Amino acid sequence: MVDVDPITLELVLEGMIAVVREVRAYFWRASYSVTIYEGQDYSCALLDGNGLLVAKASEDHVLHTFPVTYTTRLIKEQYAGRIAPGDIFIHNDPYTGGTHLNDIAFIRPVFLDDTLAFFVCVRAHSEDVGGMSPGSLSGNATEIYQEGVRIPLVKLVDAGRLNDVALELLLANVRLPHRTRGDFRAQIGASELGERKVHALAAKYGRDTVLACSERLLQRSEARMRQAISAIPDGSYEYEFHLENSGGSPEPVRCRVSLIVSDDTLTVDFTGSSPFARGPTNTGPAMAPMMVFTCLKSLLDRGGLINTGAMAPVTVKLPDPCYLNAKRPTACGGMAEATFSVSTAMLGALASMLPERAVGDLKGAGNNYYIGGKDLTGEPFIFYEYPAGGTGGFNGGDGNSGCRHFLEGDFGSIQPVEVLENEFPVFMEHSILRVDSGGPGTFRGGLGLERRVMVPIEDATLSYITDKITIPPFGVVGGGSGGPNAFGVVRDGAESDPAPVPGKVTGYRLQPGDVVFSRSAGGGGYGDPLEREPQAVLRDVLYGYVSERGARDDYGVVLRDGAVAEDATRETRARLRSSRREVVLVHTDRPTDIRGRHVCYVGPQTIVALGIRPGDAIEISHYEGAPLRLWVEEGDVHPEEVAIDDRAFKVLRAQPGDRRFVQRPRRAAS
Amino acid sequence: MLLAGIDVGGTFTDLVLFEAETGRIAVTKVPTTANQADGVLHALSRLEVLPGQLALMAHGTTVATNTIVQRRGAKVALLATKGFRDVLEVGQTRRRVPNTMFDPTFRRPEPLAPRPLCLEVTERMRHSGAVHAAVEPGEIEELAAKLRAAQVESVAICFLHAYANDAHERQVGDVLARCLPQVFITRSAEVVPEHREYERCSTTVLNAYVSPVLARYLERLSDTLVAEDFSGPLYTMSSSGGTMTVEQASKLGVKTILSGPVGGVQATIFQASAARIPNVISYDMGGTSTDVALIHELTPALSTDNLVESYPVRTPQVDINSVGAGGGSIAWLDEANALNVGPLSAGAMPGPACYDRGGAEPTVTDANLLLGRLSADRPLAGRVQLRPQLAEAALTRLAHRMGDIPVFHLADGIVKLAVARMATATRAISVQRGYDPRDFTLVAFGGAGPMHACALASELNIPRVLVPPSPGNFSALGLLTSDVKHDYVRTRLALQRDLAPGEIERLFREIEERARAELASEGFTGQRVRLQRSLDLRYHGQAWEVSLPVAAPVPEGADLRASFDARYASIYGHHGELHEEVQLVRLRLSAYGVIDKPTLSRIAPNGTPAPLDERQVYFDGAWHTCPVYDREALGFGARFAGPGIVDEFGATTVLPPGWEALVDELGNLLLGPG
Repeated sequence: MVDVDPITLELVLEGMIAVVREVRAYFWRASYSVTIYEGQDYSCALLDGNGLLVAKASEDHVLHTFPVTYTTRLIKEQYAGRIAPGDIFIHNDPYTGGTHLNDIAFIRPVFLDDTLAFFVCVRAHSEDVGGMSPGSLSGNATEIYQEGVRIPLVKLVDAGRLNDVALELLLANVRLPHRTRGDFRAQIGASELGERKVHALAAKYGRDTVLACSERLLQRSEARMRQAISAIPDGSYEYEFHLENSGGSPEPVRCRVSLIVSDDTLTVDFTGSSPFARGPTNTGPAMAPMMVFTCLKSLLDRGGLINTGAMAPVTVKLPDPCYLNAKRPTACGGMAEATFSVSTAMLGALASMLPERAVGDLKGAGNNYYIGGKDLTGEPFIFYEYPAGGTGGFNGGDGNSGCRHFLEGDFGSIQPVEVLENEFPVFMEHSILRVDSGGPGTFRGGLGLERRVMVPIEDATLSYITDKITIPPFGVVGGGSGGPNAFGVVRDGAESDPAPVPGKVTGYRLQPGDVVFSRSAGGGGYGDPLEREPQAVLRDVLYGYVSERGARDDYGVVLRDGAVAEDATRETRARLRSSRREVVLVHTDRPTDIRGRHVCYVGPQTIVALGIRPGDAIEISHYEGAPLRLWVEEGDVHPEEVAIDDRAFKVLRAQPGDRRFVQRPRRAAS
Repeated sequence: MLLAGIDVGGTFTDLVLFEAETGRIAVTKVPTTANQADGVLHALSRLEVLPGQLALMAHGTTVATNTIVQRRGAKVALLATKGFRDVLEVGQTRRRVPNTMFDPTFRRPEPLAPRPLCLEVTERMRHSGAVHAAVEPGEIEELAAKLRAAQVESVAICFLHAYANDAHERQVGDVLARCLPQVFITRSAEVVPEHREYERCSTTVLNAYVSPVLARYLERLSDTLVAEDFSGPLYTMSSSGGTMTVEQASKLGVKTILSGPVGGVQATIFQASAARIPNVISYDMGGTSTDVALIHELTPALSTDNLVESYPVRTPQVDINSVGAGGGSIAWLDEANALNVGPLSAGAMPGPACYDRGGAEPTVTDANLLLGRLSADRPLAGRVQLRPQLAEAALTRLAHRMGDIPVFHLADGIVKLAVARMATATRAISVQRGYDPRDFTLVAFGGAGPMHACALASELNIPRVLVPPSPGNFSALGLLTSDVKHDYVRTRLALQRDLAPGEIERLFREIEERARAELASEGFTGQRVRLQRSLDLRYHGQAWEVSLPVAAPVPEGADLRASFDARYASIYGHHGELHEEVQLVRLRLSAYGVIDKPTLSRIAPNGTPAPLDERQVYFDGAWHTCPVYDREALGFGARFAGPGIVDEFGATTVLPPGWEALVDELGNLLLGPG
């Protein structure tokens, strides 16, 4: 390989990002779908000849670009020896590396002389790819055939010649063929532009230099990640998280992860996670690694480039069968929930790996809710939001309230009131931050958001998909939980969740005057709330983030005449500290996997003392990581003890005989 | 008659003086003072002019921007519709700070009105403008008492749907004005009567935050000048490319956020118009940053989708793209030993290493000095004596950490990286908006612009560079060439088919009546009034609008549809299908009070330039002997080939090998690849 000097390296990098930006701008201008030119739901990327992601622009979503590396690998396997200049491959199949069917990738190999040097990729969310409902995504899907057209790897353009048969076959199966055709044309044009720009870059700096730079950029990210991993003590760090239910079945979906550090390498093993979900909360093999990458990048090596060089020292193991490794014919439209389950499990495991860098858990679910019906002129409408929640507290700062979090792109997740009242026959009653919904902590989690929408019309319907309703986002390093997500309807002054399984409803019929409420979760806290500066708690009360009662009960801070009452605070904190319920952890050999739930055994006296019932979840503290939530089975266990299995000991990094606190996962007041 | 344009920047105050009778222009530069009025007087005295001699003074100011950046604005309370006080804090749930994905420690900037001062008022309008819940009068007086007790200096009122009916905002505003006469009160329907409550609220709160500070400053400046017998109008540059009276600017401070940078764009338009070059990109490179803007057919692109310090500003602003690359930008290595240039700048203090003011980090200026592009003999701006050995020492330290790469190679690389970042910023406003840079001329100014202009032009295939006379003070010229401007907007959300015949025309006439009255009160009538209409339109179902300039009378029916289709296609490459209905969102009017513009004087011909000197300059890995020309001595018709250097007060133009220079009759240097 030619030697590259450090300046040329930076110039070529700037040049590569410029290529991606120009491809982006071209596609944006030429596209036909509102999701693209308004919603910016698309991404472009430059991959090297081995199919590794080298360059993207900051606007490009990792969720779109990371999985492309699976597609390029597929191209090299399936079309070995048959890849030529002028080819364009298309792909959306989740089972072989796609996201969900709506995201269609166009990938063009770029040759420099005779070398397959790069791939240019344009991946865009198509408004409709067929299937059983307009827009193709549905919470009710149980098979992928209901979610639209599945495109295995197809060479749509063969050395410059368009495959009309494939194109027309596809367009015959979507609801907006005109727009889809326009988008496809734009994707083809954009990939051609990308090829020309790569050629120009090679002409300017020389083919070998550009190739060498590409390799160096990947090596640089790899070296940074190896350095970050080698700073972590060798060992295994575990966590698990349960999606509360799936596709009409109340049985939870478990994401179990082990992070195994060995020298400068990391193995991320999902063994023990649930098999296929009955509903759509499954993903193909690319999505869990995508979220692993995003979480590792965020907690281990935030700076530097975003390329897949950072994944070289990381191995991701997915079991089979597994909802993260979907196979035909499981539905994959609930990709958001499935992918967020990975992030929650990852954040929990990373918290015990790096307690000082731990961050309180996030709202998790996609929180999509839809109100549909016909407006006063008889035109159909769909009002759609996916409200963000609070972000987690971290060592040094409180979380943000009602704000997109660090694993998500920066889009507005709620509609302006003045837009939605102009466009839809609905009336927003209020939109406020939820008092006391931030997870208490030395550093508090951000607050969730509550919105109430009155629907005055006949025959409107409500659908939503959410999670973390009964088990809220966890706090870390002794911090408390954020308030959980909650969606439902207020009718005649009473709130209810009309869903057959909590948090998942499709096409629920509203009555005129019903008020739909959405409450997004608060972020988890960081550190013991009794250690929070009393002045910071006072400020929270003055700002209305925490109620006076919350200040007293969660933080032990007593306020009098707008100031901290020092003595009363000291006493209250001492009392709260001593009233925590400490237990001894003991080992159990009894079954701990019951109806998809991971359980512990607790004596009847403890159940009473905690104010819970068998079947509820409890939280076992982990002051150097994230607490473990287990479902409670009543057993013949000493009142001072809780019996847990080996796996639970590993998650808690505890030994039999260790003492830990137990409590109900905290629920927010409003 | 003498006209003065004064650009008060953070470091320097630039003065341009124009004598109408002779067309003579004089420039000077003095340090900015704590009381900025003192610096203004100092600059005038430098050119031996008394304020009483001036017929007009227009100035660009950074007061509003600095107030926001340094968080030194007024203590602001927000009055919001009951149930919606968190509109400001939640901000549509967006982060609005670049590169914050992957960052769990990101903290969103605090709103400028703190939550305890975000108070709710019982009232509610519907989107139709109908009253849903009336204001309860007693409640406002209670609120006023609360605001007084909290010693609030400024109040922003922003109620839902006030763009459709601002009666409640008026009602509450009137009560507060009566109860709190010392407090500045601003209403969202006055500042930006557009729908989308968060953006409107943010703009109104920013206005409440900066206006009292700007008003105090303008009052002080005006008093100082009047005390020195100045009796002409004092104008302030606005962000949208026109000027404002003191009275206007004091009420609408949020419209001066780009007051400084817009002067350069206005000067560019003026110079380009005189040189008969309609399509230009203005390129202003200073010590800490570079501003670029695209000007098509002598019209700058305007944007209403603006951010200042992550806070949205919906009032129209010239679309200026700013990047943290300037002469003072520091070259540094990150954790992975990758070389970066900027955005951190050494500024004026300590400044680049070669300034000998204690700066030890190598900057773009140090690199240029080492490469021979800056003169080691000629003091910078006539004052700062540069020390090449200090620049070399700073660069050598960095080169050592990079494995002892040759120091000149590093210097060349630093300049190239800075150029690459500026090219990225320029692509964003040209290629990425559908314009081909090959159709444009790059107008380079600012202390460092002419030095990097040819390199930047090469990077983007821009075929021609124009360096105006006095590029170091060029921005201030724009202040003298700008008309007084008011921007009006009226929101009217309706499908085209639901509009009554003549309705748009009638609404425009209402707005125009108000505009004429306001301009008349400022002394502009008849030929001195110029009105420019536009409509914000979209296809029904889209989230964002496209602005369509329209003539009077406004086209209707199929004509309007056809104009919109064409405009849409020019931006997005295709237009909506026939069944997609067109929706009106709002009407806009720009109203100008036309002032007398300077006339540029012609320079004497002198086609045979004689180099003053020569020096060794590094280009692409080799040293070249370069003739050094004195800008003052270059006459009309002068022509020479690169490599070459043109030195003048406040700027240096670098002409690389293979380029040619030509001087036009206005004294512009026109540079192009030979």
